[in-house]
Amino acid sequence: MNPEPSTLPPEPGDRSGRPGAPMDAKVGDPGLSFGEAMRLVHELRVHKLELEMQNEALREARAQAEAGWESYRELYDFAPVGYFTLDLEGRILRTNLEGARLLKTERAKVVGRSLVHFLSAEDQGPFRAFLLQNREGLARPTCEVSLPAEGAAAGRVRLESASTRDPDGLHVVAVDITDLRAAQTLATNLNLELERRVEHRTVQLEAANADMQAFCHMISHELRAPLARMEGFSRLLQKRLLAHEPGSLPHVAERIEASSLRMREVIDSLLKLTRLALEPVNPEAVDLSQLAREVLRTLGGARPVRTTIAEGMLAVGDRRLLELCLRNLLENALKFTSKAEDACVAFGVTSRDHQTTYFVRDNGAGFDPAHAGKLFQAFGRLHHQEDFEGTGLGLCIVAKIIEKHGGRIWGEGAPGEGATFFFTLEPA
Amino acid sequence: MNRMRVLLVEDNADDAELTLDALDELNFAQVVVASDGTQALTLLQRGPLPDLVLLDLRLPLLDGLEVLARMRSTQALKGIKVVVLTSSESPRDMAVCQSLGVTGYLGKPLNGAALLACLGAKA
Repeated sequence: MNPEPSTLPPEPGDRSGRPGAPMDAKVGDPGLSFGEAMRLVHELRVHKLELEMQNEALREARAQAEAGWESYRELYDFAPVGYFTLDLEGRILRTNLEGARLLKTERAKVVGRSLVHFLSAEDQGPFRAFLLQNREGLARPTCEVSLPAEGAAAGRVRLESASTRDPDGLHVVAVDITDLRAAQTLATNLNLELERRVEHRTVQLEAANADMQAFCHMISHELRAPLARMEGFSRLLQKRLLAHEPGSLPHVAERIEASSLRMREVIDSLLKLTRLALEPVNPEAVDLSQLAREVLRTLGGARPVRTTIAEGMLAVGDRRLLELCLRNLLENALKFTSKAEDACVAFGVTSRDHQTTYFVRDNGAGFDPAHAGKLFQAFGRLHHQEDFEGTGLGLCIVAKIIEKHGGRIWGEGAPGEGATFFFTLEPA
Repeated sequence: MNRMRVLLVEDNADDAELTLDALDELNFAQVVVASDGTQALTLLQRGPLPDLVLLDLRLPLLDGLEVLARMRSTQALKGIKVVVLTSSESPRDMAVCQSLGVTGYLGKPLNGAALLACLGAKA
């Protein structure tokens, strides 16, 4: 089946070039009859055809195999997860494009290097344990590492063994779980934040509730006190009438009236205070110097008081609320200087803890700093009511207004040495 | 009951006037008035000791509960009868007064009969 080309008989059909040649019986084997020669030629032709067909089949098979390989290579290279084939020591034998992307380098620079070199010192231990588990044939071990080891671009990657004890090497699937972990962290943090907020709100609500209860008891006391006086003086009035003692009647009647006036004042102040809680703050530019001058004009009494107001104190706040605040503070200062010889009231601005801080200062009765905590409490009086009349709600209203502006207020003073009230109008 | 020495601790002049009038009707003698908690303690420490302290709770500076607590923790003042006279009906105040051992807890204005009743019962 391997004839020399020179001895190959010409194809039977090929008669054009050499007419009569195939008929030459002496060509080739002189001992071959023409019939045998013809048979051989036919056989050879058949073999040639077979070979050509086989060749064609082979080409087709090869083309199919190549197409299969090509689609496999595409699947491998462009897979959304990283594939690594590692040897038992963790050296990278093969990887796909996602694998190289996870390592933040080119594929050509990866092959032959150990995957350990891409890991942080912290991750190397777990990775070696992962390799060991694979060697021991444990079912689908996994481990989680940061890739690359450090830097802002580092992401979290889960390595999962895809096959164990493959003679070709260890197949590892690497899944980028950065987004998953970030989402988990976010969810955990949000949960914690939510819990913290709920806890905070609960504490605030409980405190507000306790405040409200204490406040209600105080209100009831403040309203009952003048009511009890009216009741007492009314009884006294009857008694004196029955005893025919007309001399003291005007005094008793006057005390009844004073008590009812006082009750009205307390109720008015309470309404003011409760309305405050509902009113929104409408911030605008306010000239506090101008506002204070206007307030003082309406408060001015017959008594000479030296008042000093700093110029150009511009603030942002609710004009109406700030007017009420200044009115109460200045009224307070005037009230507590009513017994001072050379009464002075000043409204100015300074800086405390790097914050614009306004102050109202007087040289009046002052207060004991030990009781400063009571200053802004409703009905938290630091003086005898007879000495300085008031509802006991003035500074409480002021504190509420400052609080609504996000600022804070505090008082400094000493008995007989005047008082200064400082306040800010924005959060520190 | 006559000739009892009473210390009235009351900061409000109207209330003091009404209480004094009620006591007057009962023919209580020797009523001394203190107008705040600090003054009350000063008077108690200086003596002579009263048989009864009529104590308001809302007082400037040192409030009534504080006066009561200090009396109870002072050996010489421990045994003095205290009747609280207040317009407050705070359960907290009542509980504190009870725990500090008061003879009575009366509302304003003072009712003479009610005072006699509580003194008589606990005397």
